[in-house]
Formats: sequence, C-alpha cells, structure tokens
Amino acid sequence: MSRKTNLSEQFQHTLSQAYCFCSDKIPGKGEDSVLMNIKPDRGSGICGVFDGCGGSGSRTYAEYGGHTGAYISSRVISGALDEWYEKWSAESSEAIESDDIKAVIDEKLTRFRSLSISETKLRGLAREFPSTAAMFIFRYSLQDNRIHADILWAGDSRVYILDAAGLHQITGDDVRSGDPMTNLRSGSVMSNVISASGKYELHRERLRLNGQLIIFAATDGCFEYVPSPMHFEHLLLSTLEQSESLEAWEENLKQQLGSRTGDDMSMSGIMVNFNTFREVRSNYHDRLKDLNDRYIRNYETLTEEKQFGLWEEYSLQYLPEDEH
Amino acid sequence: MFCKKCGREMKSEAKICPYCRTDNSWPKAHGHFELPAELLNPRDLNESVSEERESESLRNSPAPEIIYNEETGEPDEGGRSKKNERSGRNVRGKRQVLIAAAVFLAATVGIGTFLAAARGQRGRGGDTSNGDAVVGSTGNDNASPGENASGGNTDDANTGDSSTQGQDAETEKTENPGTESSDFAKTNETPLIGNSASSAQTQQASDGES
Repeated sequence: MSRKTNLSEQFQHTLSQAYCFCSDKIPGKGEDSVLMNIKPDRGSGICGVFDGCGGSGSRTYAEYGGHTGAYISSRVISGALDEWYEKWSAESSEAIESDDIKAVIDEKLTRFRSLSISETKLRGLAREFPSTAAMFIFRYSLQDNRIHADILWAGDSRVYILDAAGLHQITGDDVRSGDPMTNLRSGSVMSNVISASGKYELHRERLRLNGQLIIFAATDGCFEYVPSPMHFEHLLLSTLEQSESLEAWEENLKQQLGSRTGDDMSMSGIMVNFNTFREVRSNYHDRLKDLNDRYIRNYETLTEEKQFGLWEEYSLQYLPEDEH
Repeated sequence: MFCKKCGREMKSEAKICPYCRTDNSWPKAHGHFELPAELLNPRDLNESVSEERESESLRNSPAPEIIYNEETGEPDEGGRSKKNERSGRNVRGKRQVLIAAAVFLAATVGIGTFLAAARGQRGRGGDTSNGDAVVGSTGNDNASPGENASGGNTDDANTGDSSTQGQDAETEKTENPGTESSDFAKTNETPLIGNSASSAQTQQASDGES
C-alpha cells in the first residue's frame, strides 16, 4: 500500500464528518463568509469563518456592485485562502507560517484596494476592507497517526474545541477587554482586525488533536447572544442531544442560534474519531448533565456576583491555561 | 466516518451511504468575490490611466478651464475625454504660437541690438556727435531687418531702450530674450512656475537697476 493511499485512508478513518453553515441576518446582505475545503487524498483540510466588520467597513464601493467593504473583505479573504489551500495541499507539505497566510490575504486585499476608485476619492480614517478571521488548517500525520491543526485568527471570531470535558476556547479575542464574560455584557472594541492596510497580526497556535472531539470556528453571531459562555456550550450540547443526525444538529443549531442572534452567523467544523453520530451524542451526554447541574439550572436566580463566580470556575477548563 | 443523514458508520472511502444513499462527499464552501471584468481588463485600465495622466498634465498647465466650441463660440460642455482632448489641442496650439513669437522677438531684438551695437561701436570710433542719432535711427531705418520681419513697433520700443549706449545695448541683449522666455515659461508647465517667477523677480530687479 502506497504512502499516499495509506495517508488518505487513515485521514478519512480519523475524520468522522464535517459541517458548515453561513446564515445572513438580512438575506443577501450578510457580511460573514465561511470556508471549508477537505482533500482526503492529501490528508488535509481547511475550515474557517470570516466576519466583515460592519462599522469600520461600512463604506460602499460602487465599482464593486455597491457592496460594503465588510461584505467584500470576508469573501475575498475566504476565497483567497481557498485558492491558497488548493495550491498548498497539492504542492507542499511545508509547515504553515502565519506570515505566509498573511501575505496571501494582504496581496488580495491590496489588489482590491488599488483598483477601487473610492479608495482614491474617499481616503479617510475608516479601515479598508476590514474582517475578522478564525480558521484551522489540519492534516493527518503518519508519524504519530494524529491530526495536527494550525489555528490562525485575528479579531473576535473564535476557534473552539468541544470534547467530553467541555468547551474550550482556543483563540484569544482581539478586544480591549479580553474577558469573554465581561464582553458578553458590555461589548468591547476590537484591537486587531484584518484590513487592506496590512497593519494587523495574524495569531497562530499549533495543536495535535487527540481523542474524540469537535473542532470548529465560529463568528460572534454564534456566541455573543447568550448570557454566558456556559450557555453557549449548553446550546451546542442540548441541540446535539435532540438531534438524530449531523444534518439535524446543523438545522437545530441554526434555528436556536438564529432565534437569539442579532447578527450574521457562521460555523465551520469537523468531528474527529467518531464512528457513528450516536457515538457523538453519547460522548457528550454526561457533560451536558454536568453542565446543566453546575452552571445553567439556577443561573438566572443568582446574583451577578455569583454568576461571575460560576464563570470563574467554568473558565478554568474553558480558557487556555495561560489566560486563567 | 458516519453518514451525515442517518448517522450510521460508513467505510471511509465510500461517498454514498449504503443505508440511506445520501451523498457524503466532503462539504466545500468558500467566499467568492471577484474583481469586476472591466477592472481586470488591462486595455480598459491603460485607457483609464492615460486619460488620468492627460488630465493630470492639463491640471498642471495654465490652460483655461472653459473650452469654447470652435463652431458656436459657446463653452463646450462635452464629455470628459472630448473636453480634455480639445483642451490639450488648444494648449498645444497656444504654446506653439508663443514659441514662434518668442523666437521671432528674440531674433529681431538680437539683430537690432547687434546692429545698434555695431553702429554705436562705429560711432564711438568715428562720428561721436551722430552716435545717438545713428542708434536711434535704427528703428526707423527702412533697411533694417526689423521691418522686414514686420516688427516695427516692438523694434521701436526695444531700440528705444537700447538707444543709450552700445554698452547698455549689450547688457540688454542678454536681458530681453530672458524677458521673453520668462513669459513663455509662465505658459509652460507647472514645475517651471517657480523658475519663471524667480526669473520675473530677477527681471524686475534688473529693470529697477537699469
């Protein structure tokens, strides 16, 4: 058996399923974009979400169909990374550097800016083509028979891992106030976001995926409209518990999130090391019960101080170790 | 791997679920926003750039903003490119006339002052009592090249200035062409404005001195 065939088989054996959705708050006007491209024969894939920033990116471009910079940027970045991934997965097995990915994004956005008439006439303080990004590029390693993931992000979109121990936020939020619970209540200004100026940082984290888990990227429309991060996990697990299949879960998620959110919402993720959907549900069954008992059931009756006390306890497993 | 529809286990390499026949190809999604074709077409781009450059150079030139229609005599409010084209033609035509006039004046003044200087020299060397009259008569001299060039009045003025002495005439010989080229420079391109302004100041100073 050739190495390539073996890689493909092992990869597909490990990768259980994949899902993604992108839902516009106002149909046709959405400023989110979603990316998913999986190449089983190459043992790799890319998942991502991109949220065009409607405030600083509200400038419209007549030459680009009258769309806003936010609308354009999330799509341009998503498309550029898809093109990059097609080439990278075919030609290279080199390690991914955030500077390389940044160069791909910058090259594309700069081209859009240079050809925009509005840019020369209306140069101002607003950012040109601003967008967040949260993505992961994953590939199977025959050396340790595991999937390795490079996680890259800028802005307040996130990459999460959901395993039997609960929900883990892998990415840090590029906002002035970094505490996710505080941000849910008061909101915060983003301190780092992709734009055509190139003046931003694309963060990177490397992970080796072990055991049964779901790894996914999500825009703030998914997680910002719940009372606490615990409630977001609860929403994920309760909808999963009620679903008979991945398709049904996807529909339930969209419905539940859509009824709460005031924003566009996008999610793109994969499930790893599951053989059946029933196995997925059973893997999270105990966690859902525990989450309900410890954090959710009495949450609304608690004082704000006690709610923050619960959050502190929850954040021990939710946040990366260096942010505790 | 499992089927996304029925959730049952499938062989990794299978795409169609053997139980519910659902296609389980890996989902693919990406954003898509292409540059409009007209922005990607190099020909259009080149035209756009050349038009931009022409209008840029016209902004730098002292051409009048309003272009008059040659037939009606009214301001031409045609399309942008047409207006630029006409405007460019007018500038070029005006520039050529000014160059011709400047060359002609320089030549006339040069020859006139040369003759005046030669006569002055001769006068100093011989008939000093008629020296002024000789120089002064240059402009009215029927045989002078100035008349042949139909520059009588200008010649009168120039020769009037140079009617003092042969030495002054030599100094003026270098200044007068400067005066003419300074005017020309003002109608030339913007980068020369600074130079022509300083030339004008220099000339004013030298006029004052003289």
